Amino acid sequence: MGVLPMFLRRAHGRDAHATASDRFMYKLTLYRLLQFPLILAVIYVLTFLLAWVAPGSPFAGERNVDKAVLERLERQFHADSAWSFLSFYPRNVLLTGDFGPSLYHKEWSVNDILASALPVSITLGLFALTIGVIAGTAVGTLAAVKRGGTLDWTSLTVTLIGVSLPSFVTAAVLLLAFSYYFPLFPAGGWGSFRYLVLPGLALSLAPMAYIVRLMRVSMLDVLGADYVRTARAKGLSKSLVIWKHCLRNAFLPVLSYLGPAAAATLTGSFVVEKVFNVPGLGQHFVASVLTRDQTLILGVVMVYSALLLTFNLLVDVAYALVDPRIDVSGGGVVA
Amino acid sequence: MSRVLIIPLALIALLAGAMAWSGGGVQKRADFAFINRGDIITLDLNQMSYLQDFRVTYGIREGLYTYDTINLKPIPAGAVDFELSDDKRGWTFRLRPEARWSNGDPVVAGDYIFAWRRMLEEPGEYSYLFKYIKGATRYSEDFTAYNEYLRAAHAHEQDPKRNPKPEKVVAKPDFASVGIEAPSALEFRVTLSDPVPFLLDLVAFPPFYPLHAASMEPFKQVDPITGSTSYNNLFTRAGNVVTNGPFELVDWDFKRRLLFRKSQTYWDKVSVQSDTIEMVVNENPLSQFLAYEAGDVDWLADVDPNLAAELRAKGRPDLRVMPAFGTSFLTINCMEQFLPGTDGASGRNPLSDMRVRQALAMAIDRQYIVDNITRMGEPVATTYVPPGALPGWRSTPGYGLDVPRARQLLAEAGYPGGRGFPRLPIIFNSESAARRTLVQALKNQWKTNLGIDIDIQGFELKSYRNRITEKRYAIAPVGWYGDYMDASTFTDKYLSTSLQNDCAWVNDRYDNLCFQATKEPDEQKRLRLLEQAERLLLEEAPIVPLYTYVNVWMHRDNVKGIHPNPKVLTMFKALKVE
Repeated sequence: MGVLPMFLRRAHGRDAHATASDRFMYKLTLYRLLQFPLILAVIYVLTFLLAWVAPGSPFAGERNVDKAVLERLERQFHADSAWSFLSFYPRNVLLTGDFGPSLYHKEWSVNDILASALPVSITLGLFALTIGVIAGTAVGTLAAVKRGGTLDWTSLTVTLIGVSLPSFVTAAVLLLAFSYYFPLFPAGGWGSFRYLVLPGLALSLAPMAYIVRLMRVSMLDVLGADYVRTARAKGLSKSLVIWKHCLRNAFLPVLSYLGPAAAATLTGSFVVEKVFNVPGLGQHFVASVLTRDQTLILGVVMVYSALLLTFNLLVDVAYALVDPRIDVSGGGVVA
Repeated sequence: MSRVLIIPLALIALLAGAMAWSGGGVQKRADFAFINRGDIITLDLNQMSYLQDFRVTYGIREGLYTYDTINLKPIPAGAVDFELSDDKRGWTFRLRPEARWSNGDPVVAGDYIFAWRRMLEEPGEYSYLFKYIKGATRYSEDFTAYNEYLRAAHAHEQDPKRNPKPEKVVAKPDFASVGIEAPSALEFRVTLSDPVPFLLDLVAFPPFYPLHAASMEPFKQVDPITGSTSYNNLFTRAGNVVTNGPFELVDWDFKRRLLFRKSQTYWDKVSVQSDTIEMVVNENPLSQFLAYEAGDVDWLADVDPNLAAELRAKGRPDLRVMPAFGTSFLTINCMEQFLPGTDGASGRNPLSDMRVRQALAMAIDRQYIVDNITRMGEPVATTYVPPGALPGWRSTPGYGLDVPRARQLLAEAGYPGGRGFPRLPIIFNSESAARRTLVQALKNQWKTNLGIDIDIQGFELKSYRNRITEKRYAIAPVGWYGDYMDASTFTDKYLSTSLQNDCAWVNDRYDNLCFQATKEPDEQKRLRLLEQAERLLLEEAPIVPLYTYVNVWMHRDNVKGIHPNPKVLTMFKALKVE
């Protein structure tokens, strides 16, 4: 919180409201944070109920299993009844943050799996977001400056494709192009930076395309503003004006888009992870449901829920800071 | 400079941090790298049932016997030889004195007893194979009953009002009643209830492997009420597990890779060809193939059916195809009435009439299916036991395509030209594209040949399996792979008492033939009895064989140690890249 409000406040020059607005922000944030446990508890119970009523057992294999075998495993893993599950696992989650053993990958605890997969998904998401922001802002700015030029048209076409093509198509095309026909990058897996490039690129296309369009529109707006004309009239060069004055203001819509973009990249990585065989969290999101791995389903859903709640909060806070007219508490307009 | 730069710079810094956190870094490739059929599900012998888990187990563990991968004959491993009693029921194995665990401990008869006893007290999916051992099934059931009694008695003590007192006291069963004993540290005696000619095949199978009890002790969990033990699966993780095979598990990076190193304590380490072997976890067909093409892996143990068909059409020489010890067939529900909860079918089941099932079997063009849908040159099958896999086995062919006869049978059953035949559902696993095309082809063929309408219903795997297990279905494409090299691994499935009998098909003559076979000491006579049983099964058609599965794998010619055999059995010991 510290750096961000300072930076934004200066950008808007709202020092007059600073103290009151800050206090309000902290209150709001605290209030929202207090809601988190309740929301998460509701999500936990609902997810459990849905996972529990699905037919089939995580312990059943390719053939029919003897009832005695199933009952033994169910008892060992506290999954013999909904009551026995709920009276064992949630307490551990609350007390020690331990989601218990995975019911399908019996050698691994849910925490083991999360610890191995979450950093991978976060790295991938951050990489995609970094490319998206840097490339998107650059292309968007250039497209706006050279409005109507070749670059503008090309970027519009490419972003249109980026927005409309599903990621499994772009991912497969990238995979074939850059690891088969031109073998520059490995075909999948996880390891050094080289492993990150293709999946990261595939995942970045959607947010990048969106940022290009946002940036282009908002840059066009700013370029027509009076203070830009004044700066130009003072004799400053065009590139200096864009760099020093326009970029900062034109970037604000992109900034507020970063929250939803981060959430979407993180939770939408399933397909890309699958195509590039990246050992991230996305695969467990789907696979745990298919294998009826109730403890893992709960673990993954809780992590994603917590992340989404946090991102939503950050976005709301950022919105409020960027535009003080927005009142996120629902209590009317803030002066 | 502009403060705007803070954001990209912060993102890059965060990214660098995340990369370090996510455990990046490229490890050196092992001497031999392969992609297994799928990711490992468990390495606990007690709960294992998937091919990929068995494949790895053959690399790190060893039983009394193992398989010769060229002819699938059992050859001595943990045992040197055995002595068979005159009634062919008592087997005394002499253990190999130089056999060692990976921590240096000798492998003794007690390790086998510990593991086998665990299979009975903590039953797993393959515990049923112990039924051949004298007193084993009885002991296992009594042990479960005893635990249930203790639990019920405990519940009664806690809350006498709500929980009734158990009706009768159950005594703890005595393990001495089971035909497993150790006359000395290096002698292991098994007493069977019937002669079992394929016992060596069985003991070469992972559920019969020994376990190192001392290293599992820290992972023991004792049930507070019954005092019975189970083991936390953590005992199989690298660093915890003690094994007795040619390789040791040194690293298990979840969803990334498993690394195996040649064991220094293995009795036959001179025959071990590679120093390190790596199982790369990759579950995407395209990415698997590209990794193989790039030389990152030497062996693709299983190739995606669609990709395989394409590669086969292109004539890739490194694509290897071999008929498997498994059959693809239709399972048909033979119950008189459909169970409530059967989607799309209710009331009287026309499939309980044998003639209807025979008509369905005769109205299928199997050649069309293997030529256009599976496309891997699968041999069409009208028999249940895969032909040619078992020496001395002679199946009588079942029903092939015979449309006039099929129509006649359907008319005799009361549905001339398909008139009056209810719409029945065929269910399939919707995750498989090939299965979808298969059921569509069957629907069309039955419509054309018999004039009957079938509904297609796709379900995701667990729901699909669940419907079949609970017999809430009419027709479904399924398959069966043999566990050991004997026909009974197929015929046992359709005993009236079998848990795996999904058809609810009950035939006393069939049960009798199979029963006689288990009692028959003469091997040839025994085979004839089982052949008769198969013939009866095919005649009554609770199942309709379609084709014999094929194994499809890829490796370049410089890879040694992978022999084509119907079970794709491959021993790590022999694997090598030249």
